Amino acid sequence: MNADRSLRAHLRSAAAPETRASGFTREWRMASRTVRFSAICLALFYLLAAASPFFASYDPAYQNRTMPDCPPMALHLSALSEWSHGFFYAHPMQMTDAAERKFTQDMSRRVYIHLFTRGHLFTTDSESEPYFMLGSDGLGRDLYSRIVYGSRVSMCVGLLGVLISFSLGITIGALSGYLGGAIDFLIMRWSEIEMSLPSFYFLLALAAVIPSGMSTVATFFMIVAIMSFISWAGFARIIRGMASSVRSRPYVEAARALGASRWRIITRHIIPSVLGYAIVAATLSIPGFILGESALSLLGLGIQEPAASWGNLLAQAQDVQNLARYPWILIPGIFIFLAVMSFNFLGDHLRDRLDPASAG
Amino acid sequence: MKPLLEVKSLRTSFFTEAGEVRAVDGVSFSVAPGKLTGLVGESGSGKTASVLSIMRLLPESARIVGGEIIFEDRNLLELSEPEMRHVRGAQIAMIFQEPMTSLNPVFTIGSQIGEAIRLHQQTSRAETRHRTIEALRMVGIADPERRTDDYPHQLSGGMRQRVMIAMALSCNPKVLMADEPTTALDVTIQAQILDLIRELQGRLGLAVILVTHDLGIVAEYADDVTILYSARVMEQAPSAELFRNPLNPYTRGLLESIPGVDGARHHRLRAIPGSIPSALNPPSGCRFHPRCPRAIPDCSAIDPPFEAKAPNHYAACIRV
Repeated sequence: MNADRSLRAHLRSAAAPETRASGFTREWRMASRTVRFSAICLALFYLLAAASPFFASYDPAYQNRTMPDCPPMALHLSALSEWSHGFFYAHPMQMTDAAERKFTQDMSRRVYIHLFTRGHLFTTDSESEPYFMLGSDGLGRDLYSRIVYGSRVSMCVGLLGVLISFSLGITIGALSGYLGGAIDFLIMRWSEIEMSLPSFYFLLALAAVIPSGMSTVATFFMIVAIMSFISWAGFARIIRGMASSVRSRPYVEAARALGASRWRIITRHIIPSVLGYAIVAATLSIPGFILGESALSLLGLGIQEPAASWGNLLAQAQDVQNLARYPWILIPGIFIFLAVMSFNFLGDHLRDRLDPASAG
Repeated sequence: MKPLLEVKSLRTSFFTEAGEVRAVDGVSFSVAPGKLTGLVGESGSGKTASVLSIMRLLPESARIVGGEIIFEDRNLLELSEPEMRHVRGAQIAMIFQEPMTSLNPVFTIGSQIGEAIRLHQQTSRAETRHRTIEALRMVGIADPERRTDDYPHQLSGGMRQRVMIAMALSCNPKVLMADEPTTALDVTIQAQILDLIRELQGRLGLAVILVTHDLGIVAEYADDVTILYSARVMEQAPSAELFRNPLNPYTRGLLESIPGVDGARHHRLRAIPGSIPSALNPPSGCRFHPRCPRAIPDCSAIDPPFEAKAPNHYAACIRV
């Protein structure tokens, strides 16, 4: 089925009149619908992260104390005559029961939503009369804006973490595999020790010693550093195996016969030959970082309020009571799910493209 | 003519768990500029170990335990590793048996030759490209301007070996060592590659060391021949002299075991009985005596001296 589709895609691209389509166009055509959807999802999430102030409607920390746990509001299209006020409007919510946090819509009044105003994609006239597209949290903060800002942490933790752990893994693995001998032995025993530590508890223990007074940015980098420190070992071992097999390839011997130094052979022959695998493995390990950060934040050890991450937004959903009454607080989970699945699909696709032998 | 590269009683051993294996045991030969020396022997006779010793590219388990390798009045065995790196590729270059795998599949051939040039010389990007194309042209690759951007998988085996030669010669070395350069190629391509090596040898004044097990190739291309057997030199002479007048019974055995087209039809092809001895536990005396048709009791007792039996013709055998 899958093979059939890729064959058809192949035939289509072969029969296409513009035989020399650019690399991206060709890849796009060959990708399955799932992969395209994943790519679009990730592009969108990174766009959210890059331009959070634009996409968010409000300051993510602004608390509207009169409207805690407000449900998502319906959006209405304005009548043509009212377009001078705004294309869309919503009926404002009024809290009718403070104890039960019951809201009713005030159908007589309208809050107009303005597009591209005050540097936001969409927002209302003032924060005191807000439009909560995805509802608000217990402190009356706009969940949508917080998800947008939270994407910064959640999307970057994966990229940065993989960047660090993979550069460590590639360097250490390539050195170990190429040099061999005592260095190899030491590095591999060290990595075994590290791999035998139960990683999530180790992560918890390390995260627990992050001082509570640290800034969000510093905490973020600490979390990335801790997770990278835990995850380089397994990767370095695989790279080491590949490096030591490449080491005895005739082209490495030929390079030595031409007078290439060790450093040159490692950077020029060993690392490029493991890079295809590394890219695939990196893509497939990003979800681990995203989930790791989410788990830490969920337990309150990660990014601290009032800063938002998808993980700490979900922390409110830990309480079944909360969840039953305000189900919209689960929405950040959908974002985590989409991001993780997208990276997995994309990674699988990259593996099929870069390493056809493992497809199956 | 004064030899350019001289190997003097070289001894190289592999140190294995079973003990010391003498892969090269007192081998001497030399090569002069513009000449081609053939190094002939069976598998395990120490041909490749000799060549790798010259480059000092032996595997970790092996060590050079004695002898001298004199190149331009310097003993290569006394150079430091960084000094040796300037000799490899720049002074002495080497091509290997498998052209299919001796090129890195992930880079274009042009970038690999360019890399080889820049290992030893500081050249600009344009200059490197120009020299790369010239190197490809020199080894007879058609349309080198386009070919330089090809990947190894786009080339045939013969073309890849040409690329390897271009790469080896890109820094104008004085010595080229070819370790069975044509074993993996079919016969017609074999002849093309060897003709190319001979042509370059004459044109550039290269000293070539050709390692092979094929006496036919040696007869056709070599100026001098060194016959190795079980880590030792059995016979050494100018090629014409050796084939006209083989002295060592081993050499004779080799020559007799070549099938001819003009010989008597219904005769069995003659072969040397037995097989090459274990390098771990070689026979005493002459290494060849257990298989030698002319062996006498003394052969197992006396280590035959390697001496001149005729002008320019050396052999290690007490029976000639």
